[in-house]
Amino acid sequence: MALVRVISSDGAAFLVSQRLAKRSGKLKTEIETFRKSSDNSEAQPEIRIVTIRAEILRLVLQWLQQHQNDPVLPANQNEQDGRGDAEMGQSQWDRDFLAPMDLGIVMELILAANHLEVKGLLDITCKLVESKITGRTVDEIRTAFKLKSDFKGNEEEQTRLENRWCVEN
Amino acid sequence: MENPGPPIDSAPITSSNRGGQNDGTFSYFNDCPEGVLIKIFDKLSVQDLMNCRLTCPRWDKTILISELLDMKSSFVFDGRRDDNIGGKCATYMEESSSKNYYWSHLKFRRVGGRQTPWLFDHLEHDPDFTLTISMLELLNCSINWLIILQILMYLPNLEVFVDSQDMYCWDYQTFNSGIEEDETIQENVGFQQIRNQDKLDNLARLRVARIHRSQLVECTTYLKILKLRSNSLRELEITTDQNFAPQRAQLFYTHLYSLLRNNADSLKMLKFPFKFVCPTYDFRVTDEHHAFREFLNHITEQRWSETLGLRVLEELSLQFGVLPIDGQDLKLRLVPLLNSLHSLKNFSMQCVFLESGMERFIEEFLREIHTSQFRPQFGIYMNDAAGVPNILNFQRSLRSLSVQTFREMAKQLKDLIPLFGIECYEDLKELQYFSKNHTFRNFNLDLLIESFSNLTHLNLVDHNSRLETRHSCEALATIEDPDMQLIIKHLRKLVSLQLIANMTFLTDVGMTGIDKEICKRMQSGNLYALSEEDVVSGAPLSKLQNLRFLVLRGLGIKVTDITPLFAFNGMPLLKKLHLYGSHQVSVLGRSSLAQQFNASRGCDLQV
Repeated sequence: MALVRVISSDGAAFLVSQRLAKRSGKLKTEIETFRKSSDNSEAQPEIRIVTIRAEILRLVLQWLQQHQNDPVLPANQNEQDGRGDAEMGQSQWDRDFLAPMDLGIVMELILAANHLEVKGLLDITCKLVESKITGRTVDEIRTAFKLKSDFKGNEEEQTRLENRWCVEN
Repeated sequence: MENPGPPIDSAPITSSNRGGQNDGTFSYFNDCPEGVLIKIFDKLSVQDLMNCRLTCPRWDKTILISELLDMKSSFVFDGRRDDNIGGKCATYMEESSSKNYYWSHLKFRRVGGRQTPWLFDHLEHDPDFTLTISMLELLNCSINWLIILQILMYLPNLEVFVDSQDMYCWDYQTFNSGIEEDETIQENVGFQQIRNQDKLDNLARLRVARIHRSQLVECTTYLKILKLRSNSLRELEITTDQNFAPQRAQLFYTHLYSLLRNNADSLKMLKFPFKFVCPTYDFRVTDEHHAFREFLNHITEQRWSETLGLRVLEELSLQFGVLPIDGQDLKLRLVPLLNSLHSLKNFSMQCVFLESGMERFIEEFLREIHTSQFRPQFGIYMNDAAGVPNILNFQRSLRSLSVQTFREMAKQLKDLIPLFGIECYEDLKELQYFSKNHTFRNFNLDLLIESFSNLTHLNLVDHNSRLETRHSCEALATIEDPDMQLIIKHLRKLVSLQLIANMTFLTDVGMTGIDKEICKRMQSGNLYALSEEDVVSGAPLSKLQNLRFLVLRGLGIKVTDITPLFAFNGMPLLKKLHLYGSHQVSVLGRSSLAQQFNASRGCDLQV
């Protein structure tokens, strides 16, 4: 089994099968680039991900392993009928996987999934964040995501005014 | 060397062990790329998006740039709510920095003549605003056709135009006079000006026109307006509440014919002319059957099937009442027209009045067009005045069914619909039942759910009383907690639900799914909250996520504040909520509802 070494920002190395790694768009490109530049086709590729720390990288790989037999969806297929995302995010394993995480981890996971181009993981994590926004008040959202309301001048008032003229289709 | 290996341990994963970054000022979204943020915002409702805009400047900007609000929402000016003379709206439009790229849809509600001067002022001087508008909707506006025409002139990119008026128009006179397109009679200066400036060309860009006016003459005027330039309409819907008097109908069809001819190469959907009126009267004594006769005469005389050439028409919807004597006409006159429409995929005929013994006309009609590509759908209105018609032979073609009882015999719904509860009417989407007799007792809701599992509209009315007040109801047929729970559990596709019945025994349990004991506790303690141990075994009305209209009339005293507090949480689409009867909803419940369904959402709330 062809393997690849994936190294996190803090230096931890993960040895995974290339087949699994290729389910990430980013790793796939990296492996292919390595192949082209390397003379020795047997050599084990080594990929350094400078933006993702070990704990998060481990979670991404764990998710990939669980979903290694899912069909790979073309990047924009889900947007067409709008159902795809929901179906992807519904498995019990995913729920258990995300349940113990706090929002900070989820956000890091989103960034990692985005960087590594793992669409399925990006979908379920975004959905989770979305559910934390739905139905909440402005203050609740601010607290939950530690947002700073550093509006300048009357910007906030202006936005409030604009909202007033706006209504769901 | 590590492996990704073992499943996650059960200890909560937190970001607290993050080196150095966790200094309290850190925001989770600091390094989040715009694309990811937009992906998160993508599925949010307009209300959530508006909240997000207020959280921080970055989100505010991202949402504006994403144009998500632009796509999901409309700019609404409500003539009565906002301002009498448009002052507030004018201020907003002058001062807002983001108005120009914000909205593509414009909705006017209840705008009257007084507000038109500033409106024109702005439309004239704010091309950035008008350029982006692709849809204009007028709802119960009282402005005459000349002003409407002028507004249309200012919107060069308008594609969709909707005007719906539920009430009698104050400017009826100006619609009555209409536009005389005959060059010699044009005395109207305003219209002359518009015509001379050649601004009418904007009409040519219109793709969709949906008009609902209570008066036929207003509809006719619209046909005349559209006829002036439109030549690439894709959808045309023109409906009225009024019955057709023959001489008026003649004019309507003449104009319709020439509009259709101008748009024959582009028109894909056509719907006219009646709204489905609640059949509270005897169908035969009204003029409605004339309308259908008139239509059939017209299409025969004008040879629609040969001369119109609607090559791309995919959907045709007629809303007529058909009298039995017209039965043969269906076959002889309507079939040739339908067979000439080569692209037709959907044909529906609403409000078809069916008497016992007349089923064969529909069966024959269906056989005639059997070879065509499309499957016709019928909206049948029937009663038991002369026996119950048998609809089983064409039940696959039934889209909606309205049943009315007069005779004393019918004690329950299952006396009226053949094989009710046994046969499944999968394709039936709309069911209306209207009882006029004093012996009717039972809606058979359990059977109803088995037979009509795909309903989107359900309207059950036991209305034997002459008393028409909002709060009293002398209905006998009851709806109780298990019935309501059945509806919530099984009819998830419901868009509209109206129940006028004896709901004296309906309690908060049926409405919210919360157990009786817990309801009692809340009432006695006057503390309306669920604790963590409380198990909610049923489902609240809000599980009907598609619901737009909900009317319950005849509620009893067992419905209390628990219902408004727990039954309607998070129903994004609900536009109309009426709860009538002797229910015990207090100020607390009312204000909670008012908060959720406030006027800015355009929700019609009456409790």
